[in-house]
Amino acid sequence: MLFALDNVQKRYGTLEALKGITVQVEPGSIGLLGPNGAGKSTLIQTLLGLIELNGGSATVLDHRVPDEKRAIQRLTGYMPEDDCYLPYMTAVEYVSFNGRLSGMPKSEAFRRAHQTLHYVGLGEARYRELEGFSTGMKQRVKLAQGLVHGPELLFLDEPTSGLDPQGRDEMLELINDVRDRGVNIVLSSHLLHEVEQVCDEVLMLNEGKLVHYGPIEALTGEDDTRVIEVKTRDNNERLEQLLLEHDYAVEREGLTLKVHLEADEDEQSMLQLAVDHEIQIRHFMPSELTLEAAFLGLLEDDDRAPTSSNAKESSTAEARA
Amino acid sequence: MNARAPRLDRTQTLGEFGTRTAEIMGVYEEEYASYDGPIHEASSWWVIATQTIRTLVGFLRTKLVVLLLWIPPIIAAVALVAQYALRSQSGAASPPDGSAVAGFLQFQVYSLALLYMASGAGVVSHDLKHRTLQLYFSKPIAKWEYGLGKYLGLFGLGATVTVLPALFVGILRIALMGTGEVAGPIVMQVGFGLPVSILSTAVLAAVVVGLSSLTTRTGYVVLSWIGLLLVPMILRAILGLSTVGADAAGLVSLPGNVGLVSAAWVTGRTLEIPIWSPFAVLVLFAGAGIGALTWRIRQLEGIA
Repeated sequence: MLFALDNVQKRYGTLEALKGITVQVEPGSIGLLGPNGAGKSTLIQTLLGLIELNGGSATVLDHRVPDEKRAIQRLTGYMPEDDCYLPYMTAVEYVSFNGRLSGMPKSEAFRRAHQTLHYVGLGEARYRELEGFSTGMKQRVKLAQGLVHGPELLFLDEPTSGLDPQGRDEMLELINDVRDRGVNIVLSSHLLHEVEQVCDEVLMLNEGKLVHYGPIEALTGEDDTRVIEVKTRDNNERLEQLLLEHDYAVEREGLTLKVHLEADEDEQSMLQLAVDHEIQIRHFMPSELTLEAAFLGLLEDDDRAPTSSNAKESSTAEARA
Repeated sequence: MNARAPRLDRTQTLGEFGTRTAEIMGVYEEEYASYDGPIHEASSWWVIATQTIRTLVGFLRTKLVVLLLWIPPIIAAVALVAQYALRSQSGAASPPDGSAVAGFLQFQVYSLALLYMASGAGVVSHDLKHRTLQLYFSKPIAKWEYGLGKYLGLFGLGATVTVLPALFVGILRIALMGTGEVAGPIVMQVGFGLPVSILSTAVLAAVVVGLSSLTTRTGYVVLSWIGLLLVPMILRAILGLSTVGADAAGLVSLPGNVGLVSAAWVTGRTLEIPIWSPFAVLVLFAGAGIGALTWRIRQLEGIA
């Protein structure tokens, strides 16, 4: 078990940051998704044993939070979103210092700092002060300090924040490489495509509640339903009306009609319907349900039924099983 | 299947320096490897203390100030050698009254004050400003270890211009002058002087670490440190004038209290005030500093 939460609650004054989250997460790479204020950072801090819980219990890598906090912190690495370094430290000083704080002997920390900095592509810059580093280099050095002690689990909080597209790709490549070498990843990000690139599973939070936990594939709709995007030359309303009359599930999105087909429904008959009524089709394509769309859909559902998160979690768990 | 980021050509990513560095440094590893080496259970406070000293000493201004502040002890050492030479010629040796040692200790307080103005005021405020605490506390360290490490780091820096010169001059003094009838008083003065040097460093380091815990602005720490020294000193001067040099006037300032302790311990002078009173004031100052540090560390909910 990577981590398990049992009715975890955290309040800051009157604000409920985590509202009784229960979930069991298996080893692998997990994307932590949610809008601002969803409780992502609080959850990471909970898992790192940095905050006291108001209720419930949690374990990380089979160690209890917060009683076995030290063991957890030895086994985990953390790359915070903020810049958190003294600018007058050199990269190798910074990384080896963090290694020593994790319990490594001085010589080992120094040796690993060199290795890790080379690994993240900062070998040449390792004796430079962090003050002069670009945003991309700062992100890499933060990753290096999280890896220096060889963690089993790495928490990444917005690791591509502030990076240009090339820097973002390189950072994701590094993270993928770390993951491929057996390090479990918890990636907190608001960029859904990043999560798609790195993670096998997603854990979605909204307003301190668990909205979804499960494989990305399950979320992006690899089930029996299909969605077809249809555009007509100038007769969308007529086609929509016809489809509804023939019991198709249709929704309008701008100039596009999205038709939801069940497994036994044939798109050809839908096309035939348009031909029979002399409606000229301009666009007829299967639509891929993106993680973003699924995410927004789940948030919408959660807003509509604010108490349904546990039920949803159970159903997701069942689906996974 | 979820999409994976396309693999980059690492040679292209890292450029030529990877291979070149491998040849020069012999530490280049292209791939990430897990760490299976030893992990120590304790002593994070020691890691923080040593790193704090290393960082502070790394500043050019620190080196310059430390160098500057070592000039008077070196002059004192030269004077001791000269005194020894003169005594060898004349053969006379009068018992020292300890005022030179007391003066040396008083000078150390101002040395320390100057050093902490130049370097050390940011010992905690820099961590607050640069948000390093959230990273430190994600490692297996306790809050008290952070506080102790920072305090010891600052104490260690201060000791380079107080305890170390006191040891140097004290040992030299005993070696050169500590013979015959005057040996006893000289050893006693050095023996009492050294704890006073340690005490003053401990108190001043506590005050500075406390001030540094209260703000993210190191400039404010320096200003408040200057204020904390200057204002009571002015007050002490006014009180001293109005009371014709009464010992009680010294109680209002940090250097004044160190002076009173030196006078009582090193010169053996009987104070007009209870001997415990300057100690009590110094403990209060140190307690306030440590209290501020503790308060700040306890505020770190969500970070630590």
